[in-house]
Amino acid sequence: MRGRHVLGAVLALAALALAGCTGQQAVLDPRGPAAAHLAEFSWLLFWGGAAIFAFTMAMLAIGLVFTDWTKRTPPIRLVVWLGLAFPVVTLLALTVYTAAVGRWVDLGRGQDGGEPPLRVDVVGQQYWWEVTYHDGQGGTVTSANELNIPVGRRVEVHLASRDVIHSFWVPSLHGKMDLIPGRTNTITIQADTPGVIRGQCAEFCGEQHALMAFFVVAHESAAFEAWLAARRQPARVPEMPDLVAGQRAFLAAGCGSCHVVRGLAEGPYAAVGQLGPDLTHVGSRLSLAAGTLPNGVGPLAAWIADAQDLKPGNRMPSFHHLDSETLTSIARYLGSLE
Amino acid sequence: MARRGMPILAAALSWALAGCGEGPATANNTTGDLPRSHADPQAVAGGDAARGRAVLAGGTYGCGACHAIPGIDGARGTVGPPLHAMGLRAYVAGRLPNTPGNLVTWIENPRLVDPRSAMPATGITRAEATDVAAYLYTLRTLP
Amino acid sequence: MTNIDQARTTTPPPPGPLPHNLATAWAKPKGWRQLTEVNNTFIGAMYVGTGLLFLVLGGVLALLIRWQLAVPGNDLLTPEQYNQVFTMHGTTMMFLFAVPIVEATSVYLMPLQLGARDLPFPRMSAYGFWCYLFGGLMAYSSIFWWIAPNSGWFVYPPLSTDYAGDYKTDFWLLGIGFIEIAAIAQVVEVVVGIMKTRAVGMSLDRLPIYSWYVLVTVLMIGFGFPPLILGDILMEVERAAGWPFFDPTRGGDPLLWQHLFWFFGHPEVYIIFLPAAGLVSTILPTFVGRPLVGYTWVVLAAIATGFLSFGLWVHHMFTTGLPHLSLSFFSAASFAVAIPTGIQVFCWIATIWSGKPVWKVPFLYIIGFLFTFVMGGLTGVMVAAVPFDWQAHDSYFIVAHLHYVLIGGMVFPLLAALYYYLPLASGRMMSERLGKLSFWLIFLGFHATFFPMHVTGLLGMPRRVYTYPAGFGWDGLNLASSLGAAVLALGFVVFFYDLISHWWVGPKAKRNPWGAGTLEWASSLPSPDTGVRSVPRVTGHYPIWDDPDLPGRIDRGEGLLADSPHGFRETIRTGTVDARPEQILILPGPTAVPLVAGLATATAFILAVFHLWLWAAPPAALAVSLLLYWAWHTEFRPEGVASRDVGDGMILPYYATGPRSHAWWAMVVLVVTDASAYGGLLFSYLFIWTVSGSWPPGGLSATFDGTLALAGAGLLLLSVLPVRMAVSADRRGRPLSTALFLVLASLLGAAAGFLLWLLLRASNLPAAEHTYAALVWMMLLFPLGHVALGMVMALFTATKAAVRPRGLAWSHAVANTSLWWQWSVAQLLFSLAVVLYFPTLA
Repeated sequence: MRGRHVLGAVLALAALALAGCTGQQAVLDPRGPAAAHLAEFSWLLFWGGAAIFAFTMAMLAIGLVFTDWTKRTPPIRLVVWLGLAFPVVTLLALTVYTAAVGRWVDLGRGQDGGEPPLRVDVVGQQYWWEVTYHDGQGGTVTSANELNIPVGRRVEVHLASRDVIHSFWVPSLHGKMDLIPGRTNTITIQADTPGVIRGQCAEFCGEQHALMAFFVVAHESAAFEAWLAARRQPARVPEMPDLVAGQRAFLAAGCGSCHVVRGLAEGPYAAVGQLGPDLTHVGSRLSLAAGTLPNGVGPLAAWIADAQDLKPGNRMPSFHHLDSETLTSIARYLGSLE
Repeated sequence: MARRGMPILAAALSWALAGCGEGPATANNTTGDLPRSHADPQAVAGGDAARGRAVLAGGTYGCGACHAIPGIDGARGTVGPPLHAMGLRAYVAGRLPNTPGNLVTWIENPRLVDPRSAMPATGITRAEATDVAAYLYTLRTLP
Repeated sequence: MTNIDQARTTTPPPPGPLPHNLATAWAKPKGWRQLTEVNNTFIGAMYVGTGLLFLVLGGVLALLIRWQLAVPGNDLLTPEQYNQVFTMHGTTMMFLFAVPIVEATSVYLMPLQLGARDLPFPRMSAYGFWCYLFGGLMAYSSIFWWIAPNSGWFVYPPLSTDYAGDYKTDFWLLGIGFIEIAAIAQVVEVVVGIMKTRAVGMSLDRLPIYSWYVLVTVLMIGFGFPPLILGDILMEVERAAGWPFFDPTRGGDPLLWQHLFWFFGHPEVYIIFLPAAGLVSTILPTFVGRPLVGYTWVVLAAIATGFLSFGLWVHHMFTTGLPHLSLSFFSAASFAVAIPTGIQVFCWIATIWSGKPVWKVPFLYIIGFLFTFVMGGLTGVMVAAVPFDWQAHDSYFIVAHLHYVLIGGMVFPLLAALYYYLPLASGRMMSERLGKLSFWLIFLGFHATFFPMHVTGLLGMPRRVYTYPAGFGWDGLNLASSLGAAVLALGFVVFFYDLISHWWVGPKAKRNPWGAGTLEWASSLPSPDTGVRSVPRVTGHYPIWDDPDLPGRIDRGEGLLADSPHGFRETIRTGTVDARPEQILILPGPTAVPLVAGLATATAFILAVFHLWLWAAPPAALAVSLLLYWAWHTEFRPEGVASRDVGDGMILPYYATGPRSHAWWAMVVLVVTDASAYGGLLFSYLFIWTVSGSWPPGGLSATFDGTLALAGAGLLLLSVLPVRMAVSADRRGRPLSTALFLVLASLLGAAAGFLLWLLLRASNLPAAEHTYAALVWMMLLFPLGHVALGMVMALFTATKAAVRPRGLAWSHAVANTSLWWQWSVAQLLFSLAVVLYFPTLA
């Protein structure tokens, strides 16, 4: 830190604001079957609650206004019928209905004959998400802060944490599920329409809890397969001298001790570190630093140079000792990793 | 930091309710009675300050991650210089005279002007860079 | 004209002068020595005032939060500062405002309502209060140096243990932990107060409704706080000594903390709400001029709420991935708690139906309470529904809900009570005009602040974020909340202006200004330090409405204890159920011991936060010596005065021992609360067992020396014998034998402790390496600590019995040592059995 404190990161929030209009994050704007049930349930609870509230307040108002009339009513009847009988009946019904909703939104239950769910592992850490796809043939592809899923297919998300408790929340798809160190939780989600949906950590996880977002990108099935196939490839090998220099600078600056770039596992400076996000295809992601910045060469350079001022307390140091050409060449190189 | 809260609050009052739409199109830093320098917003041919502001506020190119830019919420980066009074500056990047053309070129591709600059080409189009330059020329006050 | 109407319209005559001996006995010291006063009216008023101070301090933090969140991307506070601010806001409001002030209100009010002159253990209330004042201020002040706790008010590990940095969580654990201990002191005080010091004829079925609520509340504190104190101990040991309990990499589980915390944390909500509901049930009848409808219903509802609230802590953990079946159970239990709440709400509405409202400020606040609380209760039912909670949990919807139930359910009744009851303390009325203004500002400001948050939450905004992006529809709602908060704050400014200024400019209050029926209004205003002038015989729930002349008869000294011939502070101890007078309790007068001991305790704790152990030692030693000095001077037994005529031809003794004495009751209450802490420890052991694959887990093997265990257990069992013989020797009036038996018991205890220590040392269990080992150590160290404390008590009592100081007795000390000793031995034997044999069963 350089003795001053700048929350430049928030600029990105403005950026994501526009994305926000397409990348939804709202309980009442469901984009999948579970969230649809939950939204419906929310409305039911809301209208039911509103009706009971209005009725109770009406009873109160009657007592306040029509005092002469109410004095003639044996008041204990109010308690027996409205205070006891009504809640008992309502709550019994609600208990049954709640249990039913709980089953409807549990997409993980065995569905006979259906396509088996796609498995994705999400590991939370301060303050980003590691996402690992299982391609069904025993292979895995690791990425970060973005969950690409096919529409219409159930996705079983395995949730674990590497440090503190986080919570996985994509309101437009499903409720929350916590990521607890030492445990693995599972939530099954499904998106019905292609598009970008935003999610965010919902359990307070430290200094940058507010900047721990991610995106769910729902593709048509074929597009998803193509996407996954592309991601299975190692990082693009730079050809332009400019980018070759960037790659060299990236490795020489020691970035590889925290980050993986698949295809750069050999040599004195290998990119095999496990502390930061996998950068193999970083250029194709929607955002940087878990939704903190938009992606692009400019923000990449800014992030490398000033990560601690853009998102104070995150694990990446600010590399402002890099000379300007090194900085921009690394940024251009990373931007090219699509 | 506390002292910054108030003006931001005030500035944002107008903006906060705008929701998903773009922010108000007018820049609020235009003050007509300052002496005009050689640069003039109207002189950025084809540039539209309102559109430029939207480009900056939209954040697609992350300009605010490096620069503090007056009138753009959250643009408080400290990697590069702040862009106050860009409409009054004599030089762009400490190299070129601050003419609209030079500024647009600089924004679009800094390496053409200074190969050693830490400012990368962000992928901004020339048209957008022109709009951004138009917006920057409306900035005529020092903090 | 009914009695009620007569009582409501007549003003009792001004009282005559107090008998001189009564006045001098209860006279408050002058000047700075006022601070040495221990009387409940003084301590209670200070207590309430301190609670309000923390309301302001917590409120300032709330305003910082709302300022920060007024617009997206604000940078008024840095992320770290914001995290400290919201953590301290929650912590201050819950632990330094809400719980203390409901206790404070009962300290002030309850003796007046029960017809007692003071609480049974005034010095203990005073000590609890001073601990709270000094400890609370020291804990709060951490925010001024930005070293405040920063992991949320429920300090979830591992964030709070391994990722929080130095001091911060320790402030929470030590600062809050010992304020909880002060709360336990009030539990003992209030339970014994309600059970044993009531007006004659105030049998349990005539207990003022507020006392019922307070009784349920303090019992809940007694069961709910100790497991959290235990959790605090475990977490502090993990932070300070590195013994893992919550660290999954060494066999622990972060969820253990969540269970321990919410087992306290959910009842906490009702601990805050129930006394407020008690205030509503007390104040409401006054303003409609009719008794509370359904007294029995309300009492049963309060008790049911207390029970149910311990069965639904898991509803704070719906998103932790627990099995669906257990979620459904806790969901149903959470629904069920709405039923007693519904009963209470309709009892209040029915009470309004039965009378005609008088629209004074306290009544306005009560209507505001009903409006707000019903809404919060309904959103509570919503979040109790598991699937909905998966969405609402940790979003702004929850923030809205919890403020509706806490501010709506507790702050509004509290404000009603302050407007209503302040004449008792100040003898003046607060302003109706300013009161109405503050009500509308607070009421409208509150809803403008918190109603939008329901929507913000459903639009996907998580809680505890220092900033948020624009464009999700959250901006306008957050701005509305922030502007609402400003209005709310303005309302409180008006309220506090009125509160402070009325002490000088408020019109003098006439007696019983609201025409109430309960006993606290029988006295002249401001209520005298003596409490009631003489203790009346009570025949119903509303003594003044039953007998409009009651204040007059009390003044004329027609009740009991109308004077104090020996110049003692006295109150009557009554039978638990029927409130028959049985004994005169001599209460202690002013003393600086609680004040200095409180300051020393708080200082020692705060220095311990910084691990300045050497610096912490002197204040700790001072605190301990003062407590011993204090203990030495308990059981005041004037020589040559065994009993006296209290009036109405009744002669009561000054001294009583055994199960009838208030001291015995106090120890029983303490043991029960302590058992709850031990239960928390046992739960931790079993919980870690359930989440471990094998037991002992992780390839650990413990080698317990069976001979050592058997010898230790035998010595322990044996030690009970001399303790019991000490009690019977004391009954037969043989102080020397008593002392010898107690010393013998201590020796046996020490020998047993030594053997068990050897057992632990030889067990080959490195406590810092695995949770299982740490738990085994803790399972034995916790009861061993109890035995050690029992030894201190035994030796201290033995000394007192041997020295036989003039004017002081020791029988209570012997009986209580015996209780404590037997409980400690039972605990240790049980721990031993679990530690040794459970692994073979599991």
